[in-house]
Amino acid sequence: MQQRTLATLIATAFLLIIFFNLKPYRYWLDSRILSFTTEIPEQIDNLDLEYRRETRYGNGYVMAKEILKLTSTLHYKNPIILLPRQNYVEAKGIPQLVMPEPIVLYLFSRLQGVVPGEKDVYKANMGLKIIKGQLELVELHSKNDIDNLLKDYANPQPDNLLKNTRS
Amino acid sequence: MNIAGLIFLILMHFFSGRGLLYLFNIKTRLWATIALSMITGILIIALIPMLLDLFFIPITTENVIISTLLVTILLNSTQVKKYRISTLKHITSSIKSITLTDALFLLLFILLMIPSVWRCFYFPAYARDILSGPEIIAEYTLREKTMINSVFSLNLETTNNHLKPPFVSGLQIVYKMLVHPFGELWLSILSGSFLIWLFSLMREKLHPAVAGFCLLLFIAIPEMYAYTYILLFDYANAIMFSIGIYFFLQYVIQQKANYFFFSTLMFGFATFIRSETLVLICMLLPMILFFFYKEKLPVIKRILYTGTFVIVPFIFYYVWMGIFIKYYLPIKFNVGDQVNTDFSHVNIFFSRLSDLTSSYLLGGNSTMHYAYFINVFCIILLTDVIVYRKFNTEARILLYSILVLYIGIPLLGFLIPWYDLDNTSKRALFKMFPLMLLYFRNSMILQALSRSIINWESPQTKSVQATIDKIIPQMAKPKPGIKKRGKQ
Repeated sequence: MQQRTLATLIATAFLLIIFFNLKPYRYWLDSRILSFTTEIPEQIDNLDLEYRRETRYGNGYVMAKEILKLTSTLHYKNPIILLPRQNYVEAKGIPQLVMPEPIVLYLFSRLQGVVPGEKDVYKANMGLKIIKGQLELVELHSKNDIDNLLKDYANPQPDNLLKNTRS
Repeated sequence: MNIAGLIFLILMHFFSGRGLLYLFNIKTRLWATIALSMITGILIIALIPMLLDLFFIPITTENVIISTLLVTILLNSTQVKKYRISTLKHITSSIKSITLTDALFLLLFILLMIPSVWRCFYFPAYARDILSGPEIIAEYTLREKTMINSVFSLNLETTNNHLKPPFVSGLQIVYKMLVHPFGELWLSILSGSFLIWLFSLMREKLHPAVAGFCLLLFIAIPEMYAYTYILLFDYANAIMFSIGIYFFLQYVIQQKANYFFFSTLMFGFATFIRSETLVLICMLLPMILFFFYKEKLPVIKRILYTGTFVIVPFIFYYVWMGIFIKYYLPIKFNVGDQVNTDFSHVNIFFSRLSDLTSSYLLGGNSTMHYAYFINVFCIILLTDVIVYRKFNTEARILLYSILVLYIGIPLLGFLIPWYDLDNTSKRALFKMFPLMLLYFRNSMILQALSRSIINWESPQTKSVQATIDKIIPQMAKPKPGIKKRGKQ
């Protein structure tokens, strides 16, 4: 009896090998399970929370942190930042730079943001621009300033001098 | 990571859940009970931040710990005498009863789940629906001690995720406070407990090898596996929905009202995770009314049970949508604006049904998202239809529930404009898979296969039935005194 139980076990193991060689399961095993063995040494070496956030959130998170750094130099009490849409960044030739949506910006950096088309757009007192490949914050003092920036966002001019993505 | 906090929460999940199971007099096998206690315990703890806010109590670490303890004590206060030291002996004997094939699959499942647990621990939640809703609410709750926080002062026109029920945000708050800045580890506990529960159920009726392969097919559904570490609502929703269905069928089989009421509570929790589940629950009503009619239940009981079945999930829905959002949050939200009231274009429903079938169920990217799980289900179902032509009560209820989801998901797409095909509907299909898996344990062909393997493994045993009873508990003859209803 034990021999037959053992035979069932061996047959099961053999069937498992066949199972994991079926195309979708092979792919699943490689991409979701076995990839773990190559990821884990690096991840164990990098347990710092900030590193893990940057790895997971990618460019959007890095961007939010950059914006936070820029605002800290301007000493505004309640900065509300006008952010361009992604097509502006792409037109400026920096597609790898990811604009976080306002709610995500607030999560990552505690900064309030607005994007063109939102009803609160005229509450913005700062705006984000890309000038010669540099990310810059400009102060917005009037409705006119905001309209000018919105025009710039709507008709972005390609910037051929771009080299660096961040200021 | 705060290990002490994690141990505290695991204990609270278990004891609050166990207390609830005792309260409803739910009796299942040992490992199923442990798993079910953890799952229900997680749901109970998820309610705490919202309840604190409802009573205007600041959500601080001390208040969360005290209220968690209070809830657990409250749930166990009348049930504590039911705890038995002898249960510990059952653990030893149940470990001894694990066969070699069981051990092989258990080891495999543990190995498959390790990457999932690690990813839950290592990475923060990142799905857009979570970041722009539960995650940001949880983060600012930690800073401002209330879920009604500065997030609601933002312009939220681009999202509705802040309005989703506070199941995920509640657990994220508790886990960020007590365990880890990323929270999320509760998802591993939830999915792990669910898999233990499923394996325990599969083993009740199938040979270890057959049960193991069925569960492996389920774990290896690529899209579902991913959501054991990607934080979103749908996996948890699928868990609660399938537990609700399972206990409803236990009610039908065992004719015990406590199972029915526990089932409605589980549907309530499913609604607490995704509000639109309420529509699917209402679609289950014809089946429930049919069973009440068949059992010749007194009219008063029929009305009482049917009312409970709808009202309990509705209470979960209403506490969030009708009270919290309406009277506590500083925003205006009208559910009516989110629902399609133009019923003249019914073709939208049929085209969604067709798209869902062709893109995700029987063609398109089905294999990429769900591997061969649906194909195997169809083959097994067809074999049962062609060869055996009979289904037990459990199988019939499960097939009806799968049908409800098949029609209900496109219907939700028709009723709710934001309920799209490639995200919401695709993930809503998760609710089908545990039900398909539970069907496997009732499949005539798989039960016959199980019996054949057992017979082959022990040909010289005088009493083959004794071996079957030992290996597959539910194939044992019913004990005298236990009234069983449906054909088993």
